This record gives sequence, structure tokens and C-alpha cells, in this order.
Amino acid sequence: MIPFQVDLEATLRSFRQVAALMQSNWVWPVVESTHFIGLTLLFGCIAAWDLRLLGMAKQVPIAAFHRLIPFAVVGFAINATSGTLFLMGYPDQYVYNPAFHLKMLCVLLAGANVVLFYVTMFRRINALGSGVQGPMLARVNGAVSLVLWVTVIVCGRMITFYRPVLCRPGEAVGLLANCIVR
Amino acid sequence: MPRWIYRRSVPRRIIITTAIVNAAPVTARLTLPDGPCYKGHDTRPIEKPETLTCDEHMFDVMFAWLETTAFSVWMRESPSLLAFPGILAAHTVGLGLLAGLHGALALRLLGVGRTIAPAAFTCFLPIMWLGLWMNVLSGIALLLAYPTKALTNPLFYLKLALIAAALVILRATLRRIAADTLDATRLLAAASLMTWAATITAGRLLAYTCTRLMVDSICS
Repeated sequence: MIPFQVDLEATLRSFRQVAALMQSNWVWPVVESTHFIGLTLLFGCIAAWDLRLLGMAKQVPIAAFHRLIPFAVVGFAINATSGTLFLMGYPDQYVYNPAFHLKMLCVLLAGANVVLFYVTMFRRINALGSGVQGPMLARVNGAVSLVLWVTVIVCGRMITFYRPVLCRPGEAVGLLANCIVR
Repeated sequence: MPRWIYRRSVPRRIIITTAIVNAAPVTARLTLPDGPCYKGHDTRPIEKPETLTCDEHMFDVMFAWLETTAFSVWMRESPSLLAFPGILAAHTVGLGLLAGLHGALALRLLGVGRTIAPAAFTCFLPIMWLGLWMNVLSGIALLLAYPTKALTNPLFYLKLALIAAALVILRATLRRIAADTLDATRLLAAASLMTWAATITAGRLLAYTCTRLMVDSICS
């Protein structure tokens, strides 16, 4: 058990009212549905953008597709909020879950990929006209983003199948997580 | 389970298959007795009146048979990540590709990024069809894993109807884009966003509204 995980679980567990709300009838399924709608908004807008970076729909300047990005951010905000509610509902199911760890790692990497894009090539790419394929670096950025978001979705789905189980001290389960010791 | 849902949504072909299965010796995990049929939300046998046919009994024979097919057993019982977990994940990725890109198109038609020609979105159609086929195939696989669970839930038929509606809306939108007319595309765009949101919600709620998990077990 990593002390950070124990502390994180304790912190998340302190939001008792939120947990009670999340564990009440029908709140969980409704928040889950919202999480999936947010996923679709985020992934759809990001996919359109990444596919343009990869060279599809070349008749439109890359800059035009940038208008979709705020909606991807809205999708991300919906999912960060609903995701945090899940965490507060059952902290141990996520804090010690290897699929959740991998999902968060991919979200962070996708974020780093976005920062890299804005820092290194946004101005150059935004100035490109229609009919132009982005430079190799932009295509790599788009491909990496697509792969990472698909991995985020897959890992999110895997959370159910990697729920930590109660076990004896020192008995490790899973790839990245230990089991919960009670 | 209202009977009309069975009658209207299960194609005749399946009913014939059921009849064949009924006639042949069924090597079901749960061998259903001839006399009693299984009615309603629990699986306690009730006496079947001799003069009446029992729809539920007939469909239970089909469910029991489907649940014993090698594929269905593999989906439920294989420890492989590529079985149930992988196919479920693929279903969500397909959703993101089809509904997500349709959502992006809808946002454009509603006025976001007016400098994008709507026709540019037709370039993404192969990706959207990939998403659709991923979900048709993974959906069938998931249905075969737990046929009783889905087919005895009215919400499952609502979900299928909503998908059909979303695809009809997509086709109508694409026709208008191809004809270079944008009449009523805003309305279609708003309808598509709402239909996909409803589809996703219905799909997610399937896990919480089922009454029977398998032919011989209830959802807990």
C-alpha cells in the first residue's frame, strides 16, 4: 500500500454527503449516463480535430476546426465533474484500481499532448490555409491524441473488471495497484 | 414483460427457429419442463393451462438455447480480456466514433465553426461507419452473452428504436448536405443530439433496469 493512496482514499471518503447522494437510488445511473454523454461530446470534437490534423477533410483550414475545441473542453468538464462524483461515491473502487490508474495516466498524457501542441505548433498550424496537410509533427500529435483518448475509454470500461478485492497484507493484485487491506 | 414487445419486435424468423429448437432435443443448461412455463419477473414455474400457448415459455426455450451456445458461454465465462470486457470497451469506442462525430457535425449545423463547409464532414463518414459496424457487431456479441437480460427489458427495444431514429436523422442530414440545401438541418441537428443522448442514457440504464439476468436467474 502506498501512503499516498491511503491518504487520497481518506480524503475522498471525507465527502460524506456526496457519497450518500451518489449511493442513493438512481443518482449513480444518471451520473453515469452524463459521463457517457460527456465522453461522446469530448471524443467526437477531439476526433474531428485530430482527423483533420491527420490530413482528412483537407479542403477546410485546420483553424476552422479549432472552433470545435471549446465543446471538447465542455465535454471534459462534464466528465471531470461526474468522474469526481464517482470517486467520492466509492473511493476504494478507484484509488486501488489498476485500470483507473492507467486511465488517469492516459488523461495526463493526452493533456501533455495538448500543451505540447499549443506551445510548439499552434501558431504555425493556425496560419495554414485550406488544402494543406499539416507538418509531420502535427500528424503525430493528432495520432497520439486519438490513441490516448481511445485508451482512456477502454481503461474506463475496464474499471469494473479490475475492482480491488479485499485481501491479506502484502498480497498484491493487479498490475499497478495493491489490494485493500482492512 | 408486456407481450406486445415480443410480438412486434421479434422477427418471424426467430419464432420459426424457436419452433425448430423446440422440436429438437434441447441440450440447455436449464432444461425447461414441458408442462409449466416461466412467467413474469421470476423463474418459478407456474402451471400452464392446457388450452393456451405460452409465449414466455417459447422464448425461454430460445433464451436457454442461446445461452448454451459456445459463443455465449465464451463471452460470459472466458477470462480473456478480449471476451466480454474487450467487446464492451469496443462498444463504447464505436459509440464515441459514430455519435461523437455525428455530434460534431450537429454542432457545425447549429452554427459552431461556420467556416467549416458541412460537406467536409462527409470525409469522416468512413470513420463513422466503422463506429457503426463496430457497435452492430459488438452489440450482437453482447446480446448473445446475455439474451434474456436484454430481450426481456422494454428499454432495450427503446434503445434500438432510438438508434434507428438517429440513423434516419443522419441520413436525412447527409442528403441535405449532398443536395447543398441546409433546410431544416438545424432542427435535424438538435434532434440528433437529443436522440444520441437518449440512446446513451437508455443503454446505460439497461444495466439497472433488467429483471432477468439469464433464463434461470434474476438481476440482483
